[in-house]
Amino acid sequence: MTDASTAPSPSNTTLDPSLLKASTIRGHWWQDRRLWHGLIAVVLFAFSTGVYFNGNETTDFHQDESRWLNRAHYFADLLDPFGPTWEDQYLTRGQPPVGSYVMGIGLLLQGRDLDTNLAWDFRRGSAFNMDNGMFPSAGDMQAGRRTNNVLGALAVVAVFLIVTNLTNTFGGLAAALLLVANPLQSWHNRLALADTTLTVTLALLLLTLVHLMRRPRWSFAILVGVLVGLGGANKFTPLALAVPLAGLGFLMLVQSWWAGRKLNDPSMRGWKGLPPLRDVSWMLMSTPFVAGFVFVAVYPYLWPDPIGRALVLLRFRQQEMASQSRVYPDRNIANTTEAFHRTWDYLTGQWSGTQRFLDQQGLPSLGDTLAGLDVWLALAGIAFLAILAARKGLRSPHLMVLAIVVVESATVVLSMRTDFERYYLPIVLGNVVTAGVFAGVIGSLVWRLVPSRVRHTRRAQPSIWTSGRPVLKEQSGD
Amino acid sequence: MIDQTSRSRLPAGQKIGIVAALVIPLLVAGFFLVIWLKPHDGVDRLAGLKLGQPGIVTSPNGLLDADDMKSLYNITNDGSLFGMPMAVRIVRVSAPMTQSETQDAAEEYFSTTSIETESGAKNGLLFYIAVPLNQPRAATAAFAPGEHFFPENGLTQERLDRTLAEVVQPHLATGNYADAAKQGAAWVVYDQLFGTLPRVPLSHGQQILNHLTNWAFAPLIGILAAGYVALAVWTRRAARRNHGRAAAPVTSVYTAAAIARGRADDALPAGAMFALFERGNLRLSANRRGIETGPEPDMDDPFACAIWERINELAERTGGIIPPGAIGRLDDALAPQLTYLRTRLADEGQFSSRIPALNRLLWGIGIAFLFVIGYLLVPALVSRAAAGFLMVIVAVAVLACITWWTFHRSRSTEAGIQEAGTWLGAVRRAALAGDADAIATLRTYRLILRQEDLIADREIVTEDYGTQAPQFLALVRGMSIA
Repeated sequence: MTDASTAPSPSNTTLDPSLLKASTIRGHWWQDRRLWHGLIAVVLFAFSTGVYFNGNETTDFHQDESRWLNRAHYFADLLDPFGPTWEDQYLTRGQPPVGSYVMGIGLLLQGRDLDTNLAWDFRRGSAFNMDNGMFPSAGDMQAGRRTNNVLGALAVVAVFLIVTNLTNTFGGLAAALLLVANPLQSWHNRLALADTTLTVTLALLLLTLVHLMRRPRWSFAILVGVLVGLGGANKFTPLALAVPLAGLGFLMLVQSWWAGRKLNDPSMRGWKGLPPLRDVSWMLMSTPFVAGFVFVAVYPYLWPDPIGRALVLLRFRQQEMASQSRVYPDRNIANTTEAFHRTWDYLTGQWSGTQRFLDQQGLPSLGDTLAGLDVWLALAGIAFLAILAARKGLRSPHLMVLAIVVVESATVVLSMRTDFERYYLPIVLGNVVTAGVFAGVIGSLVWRLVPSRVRHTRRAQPSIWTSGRPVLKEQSGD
Repeated sequence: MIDQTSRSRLPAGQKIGIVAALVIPLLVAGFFLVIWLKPHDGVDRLAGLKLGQPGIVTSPNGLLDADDMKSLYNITNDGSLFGMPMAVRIVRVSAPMTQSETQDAAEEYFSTTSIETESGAKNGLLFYIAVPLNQPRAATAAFAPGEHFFPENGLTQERLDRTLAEVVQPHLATGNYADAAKQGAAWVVYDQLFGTLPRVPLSHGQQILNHLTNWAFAPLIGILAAGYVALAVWTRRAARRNHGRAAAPVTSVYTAAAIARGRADDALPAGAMFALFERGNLRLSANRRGIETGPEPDMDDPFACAIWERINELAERTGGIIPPGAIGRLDDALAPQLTYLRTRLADEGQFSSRIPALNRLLWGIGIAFLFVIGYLLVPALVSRAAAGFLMVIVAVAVLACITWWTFHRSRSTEAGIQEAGTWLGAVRRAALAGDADAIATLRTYRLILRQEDLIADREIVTEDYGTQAPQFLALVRGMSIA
């Protein structure tokens, strides 16, 4: 073994031109991966927006569109937070408001007003609703759908960036294309509903978490809490994500405290051996508080009694789900085992991206055969992500993404009492992310087979770790 | 024995201030907790109920066919499911009745029939249709709400009247009393569930408080927020007043990098450690998991030497090697050296010595302002004062933005920046001339200046320092393993 202190370092005698420009990292713009990632993101955004937009006119009306467009006025009603909209009533209780805000913003940005249709009454037949103004106008409906086209495309870009950060560009592209190909997500991105908002919120949450773990800072940590809170104020279940985030933060806190004890230094920064507030453990542990604050702050209905009314909301949602399972007995889910079975059946059948893609290529029989590929790739990706997380340690973005994907999917399945299609969307998001990780890792292994002189076109530099490699405890899993 | 004379004695004013600072937020928090946590025994007007009477009755039987009866049963049942006791009665009468006669008949029927959730509750609604014999086009209808029927979610007397006039009567005019009953009942349950509630009237006390909050407290908070912005602007100018002061020449890469970053933070010790590794003054332990010190650095830079000495001291305390599990806290253990550098930068005029004091001033006033905002929040919520509440949001946003700025503002003086520029120019020229030390210095400079970017973009650090460098750099900073 060559000692690092005596090893000659050829890099000491050569000058990288980029060193002369302190403000730049790279010598040539075309070597900047961030630029290429930005370009790919723009292309993906344009491509997926186009794909989603093309299907708007031919997608059938969904009765829920009437409800979400009806509530678009909630956005303007934020200026009257003590007004009638926010009193205790069915629509205000029935769904948290963020999806309605997004619809309102989308309509306003497209030059429409927020005075839309009446809310669809599912207790009455279509005739009653169609005859009495519950069907949205074509302009409002298309504007709402276009809003989700754009949000869906943003989710595609976010997924690309998440997986690129976790693995490589190939993995990112694979994940993004899998999301575009998924028929369930594509369908919902062409409807004026709130589910695309949830998808993009979760995707942005994952992306922010990756950046938080790479560059811990309070602005990212607060953004994580804000996104969890906004997700909860859209569809409730994302609030559950605050638990694993805070739990992992606590583990990191203990780890830091233990590390501090080993140094045995009383003058160390931090109180009683605990790390100072700029440690990522505190940041993650702040998530439930920030998320709770945001959840209440964006939902004026909760202001008079945040705890009591939040409990009312949860009970009401449970009643609604029970009511839905009575109204739609064929969709009723008796227990968690059945929820798992149905999830598996749908995602490896009707909502398989592989199957749809092969069907479109005129290969329906092959599509039937490979319909389960999406989920198998995702499961393999979870295994790979778990291995990466184990290797890279507690403070790795890989562990964070793994925790969020697993907890969100588990929350959806465990709380499912009726199998409405939209409930599977967060699982689809997790699946494409983990499948992308799988593709990225495999791509990386294949890339290693390429001769070294082809791979390393840039100037190779020796290491100050001149031989072997340092084995850090955090990496070895001790 | 403790030296009593060495204890600091706070003036009474400061003691009162500290007590107030602790008690005020506790009182505000306590106020909200009491309100939020006390059990709310109010009636849930959307909770399902069971009506003692059948939802639909015709007199005589057979006025409606079975399908219509079933539809009306379902509609009234929908009302019950969401907390509205409602019944429909269709009665054959011998001769046409006027609207007021129908209303009287409905109320008479209501008073003799228990359309309510429990005896004496008087909280039900009767939808009454009188159909004259052989004259269905002369049928009339009326709603008879119980004394305690309203408020019933989105259903109001105005909406009932509108349903009667715009839905029920047009159907009755065509002689189709079955559709009149179904459509009318359907709209009643629709309005009950989907109609927006009327605005809640304020009590007299609330009205006064609302007026006071919107027209006195809210503008006051606005003025205070504007004043806080003005104070922040003033601190920005005040910090520049000593910019005319000359700064000592920059002689160290760490000083130059701190000036370029605008702050002296953990990137500096981390950069120093890498430089020490490169020179062999620090190295990995034999099992390549811990850190041990090499020979004492042969360099003039006091900061790098102080870092080495500190690590050496820590290593001696832990048996000669910094154990791997403790590397993640090295940045906290090197804090005194960072403080030394900060002090030196301020003493030499490269950092503004005023900014920390000005920041503390802003934070102190900001905390006081936050208490004032907290106090406005109470009357705003109690009196439902929208303007007051929105002003609270604006004020908190202002506070958050200015606080963020105080944490991110550069502490470097213009003279310091000039000196750092002079130093950088000289080092660059030396590097171009092939001076190996200058090249290494520039690399350290870059490692510090863009450290967070470099940790996130492992390729650059890898090229300069080897494949394990990004992980190690992140670990030394207490960050993730990239």
